[in-house]
Amino acid sequence: MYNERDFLELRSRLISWIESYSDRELVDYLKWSAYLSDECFNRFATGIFRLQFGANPEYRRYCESAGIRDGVIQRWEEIPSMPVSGFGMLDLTCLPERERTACFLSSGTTRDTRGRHFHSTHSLELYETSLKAWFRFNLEPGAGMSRDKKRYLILSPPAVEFPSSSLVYMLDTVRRHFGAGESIFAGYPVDDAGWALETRRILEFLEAASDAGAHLTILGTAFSYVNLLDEMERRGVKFGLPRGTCAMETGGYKGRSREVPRNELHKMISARLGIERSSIVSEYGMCELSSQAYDKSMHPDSKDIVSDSSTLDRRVFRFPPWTRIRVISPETGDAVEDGGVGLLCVYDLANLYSALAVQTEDLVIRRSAGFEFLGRTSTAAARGCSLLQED
Amino acid sequence: MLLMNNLSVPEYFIADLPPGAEIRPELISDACETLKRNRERYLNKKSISRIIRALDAVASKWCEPGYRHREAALAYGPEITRFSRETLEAGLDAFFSGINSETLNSLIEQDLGHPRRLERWISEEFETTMQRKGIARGPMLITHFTAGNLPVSSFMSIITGCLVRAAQVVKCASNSSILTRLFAHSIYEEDPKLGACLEVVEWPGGSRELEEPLFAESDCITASGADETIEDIGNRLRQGTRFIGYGHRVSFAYITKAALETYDARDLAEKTAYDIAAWDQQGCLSPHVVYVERGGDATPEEFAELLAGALEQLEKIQPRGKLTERESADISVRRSFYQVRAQVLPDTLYWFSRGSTAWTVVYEANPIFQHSCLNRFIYVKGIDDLEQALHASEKIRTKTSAVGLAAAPEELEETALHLANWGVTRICPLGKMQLPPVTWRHDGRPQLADLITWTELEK
Repeated sequence: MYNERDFLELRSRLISWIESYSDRELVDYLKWSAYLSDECFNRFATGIFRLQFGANPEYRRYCESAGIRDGVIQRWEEIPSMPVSGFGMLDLTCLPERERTACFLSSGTTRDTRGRHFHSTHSLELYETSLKAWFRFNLEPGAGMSRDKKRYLILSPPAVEFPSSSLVYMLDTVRRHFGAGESIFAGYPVDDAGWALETRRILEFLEAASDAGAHLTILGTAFSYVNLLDEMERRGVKFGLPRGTCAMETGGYKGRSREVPRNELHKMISARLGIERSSIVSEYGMCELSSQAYDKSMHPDSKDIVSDSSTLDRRVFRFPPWTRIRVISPETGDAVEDGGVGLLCVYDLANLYSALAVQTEDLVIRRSAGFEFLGRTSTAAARGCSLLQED
Repeated sequence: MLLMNNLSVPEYFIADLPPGAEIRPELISDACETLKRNRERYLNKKSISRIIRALDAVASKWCEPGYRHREAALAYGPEITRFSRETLEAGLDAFFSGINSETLNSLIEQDLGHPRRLERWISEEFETTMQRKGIARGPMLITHFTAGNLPVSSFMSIITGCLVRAAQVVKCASNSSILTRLFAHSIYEEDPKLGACLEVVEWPGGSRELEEPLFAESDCITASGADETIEDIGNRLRQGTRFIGYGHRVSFAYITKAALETYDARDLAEKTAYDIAAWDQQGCLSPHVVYVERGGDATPEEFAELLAGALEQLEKIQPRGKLTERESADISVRRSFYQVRAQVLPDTLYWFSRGSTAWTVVYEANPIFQHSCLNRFIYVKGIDDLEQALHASEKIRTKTSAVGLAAAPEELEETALHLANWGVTRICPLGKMQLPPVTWRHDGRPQLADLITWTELEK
């Protein structure tokens, strides 16, 4: 049974909790998370699970088959995690149909295998709260302190032109909240799963920013960067963008450009745009989640965090404090210790209206409270073309 | 790589060199020259029957527990090949017990018509009528590019090469040469002159400059592996080089309704389990799917359950090898997929090993052929008749190697003919899918006949 009031009540408590995090606490979280008490997280997680178990019959059936008879559990680790493939097959939402105003699709290879994450105005508000808090800390630690907003170059279309992508929605939200008026979206949709870039417009934008000495933030997918940088190389163009410019890159190629290893890509970004490698942030996110992970923070106080944090060639991703991760050994199904390899499982409180425990298909190395990304399983790629085929 | 040094074998072959030893293209060229010279000197003068005797002796030694090379293969093999000791042992025993003078002679007779055809002018009856004699000659130098998934397929390449008296280079995939080397050493020990016409090399894929001499020196190249690998090798050949490529192939099992009425379903399940477990399902002959006709004494669902039980039993005596995290993840992710799918489509059933990915059975009513992620992950699919199964397998029609068939005696040939006409090249009983006879025509091609060149003497 979906009880709107219960959800709204939890939602506002959650939003207050997320917004209450100060920079100092976030720095501490990065530094000490392995030792911090997670009592508050656990209270939220078990409460949210109880609501989801009660409100979503499809999720409840899944939990029952995993041996959870009622929605009552003691620890967040007991919550049955939903495989991402479940988002393609089940209606994983607590929202009644009338409230589903948006639906993000994962980038599956065929329409019927794409994961669906339904949202309402209420759930999107929570999504944006989570997104903004962690994005600000990692990429815009100065936001709000000075009156000048940074110019954003976003290598995707705006959300109105590409409503099915959670990534585009994220970039759009970031632009709305953090970007100066001169910011641009430089992508246009080419089909229902991807977009191309307006290179000329980008080059003009970069030139203007460069001339004005304005700080920039560039956001885009790996394939957009590769396509842009390849085109710049072809034209023999190079920029030395002002110091303080940073770039956020999020993985994934999906056959939309040649594939370049991450380190290589960062070197290319650095060489062609003049952005220091220490100012290139990698993001990990997916349509099935409502929070994101980043491999480094631009916050000045996070610079001296050394233990298990990223170096130029090793990226350790961290989700915000309102999430937890476990890394599950694919062989035994048990959580691995620090340094172990397994499939990433994310417990995201901001997934209030869907399923908060999500089992990804990504192999990672556990690094304290964070993880190093190794790659997506090949089955995940194969699934689109064959496993769901009906005839 | 370190383990290689513990094999305590002499450095007869380039692949025996200690790790880190520099291998240069000149070394490969020189090795090819030496091989060809040795062939002239030794192999061409050796009778085929002596070669067969030597191979027979080597094979029977490999069947003896305690044989040095066999022990080394079983001791060091599991770590490097990732097959369990028991799986390796079963696979090696099955292979070598089929190699002997009788079967090797049969292979020559089958492919070339006459046991002495490789040694002198032969005129069989039809040739006498035409006043003609013929002799078959093997290539001077064959290079085998092996896939590295099944050690016995490179053994078989070596054996066929020996039978046609060719010098041979076996190029192994990176870090997979151990068993091939041990087999080559066993030949060397049995007959040093035969061994002197054999070379084993190993280097990481993509070391093209090292492969150039092989393309330049060989007059015949065989390759097995992914279709892209075969295509790439095909593109690098010199004009006139014979090329035999074995690309990606898949197999499945088929059980008719009448078979389930004639035979014990549990017994059929045990045999199928053996086919799945053999070489941990890594070979082209390993089944991906078991089609089971509906309406028999056991339903397809019941058969799937029996198969799960049989795989569980087999795991106790012939455990699956250790997987990489990526391989485990493939199985784990696919299992999760079907766990959710079972909730949406109640006709999806599954059976998993607990606490490991050792074996997985997924039952689906949907007949579409499904590629397994291997390592003992099998699909069972209920089906109305063979026509429906073949229709559902259309996408692998040109890629199908073997069908393990269980049919009642009265329908066997007709069912098999249907499969043959559809394009299947090998049809065998369940339990024998990974045990092709020496005379097996690999992917429908005669193994020896494809290697040789004929000379005819007309009167």
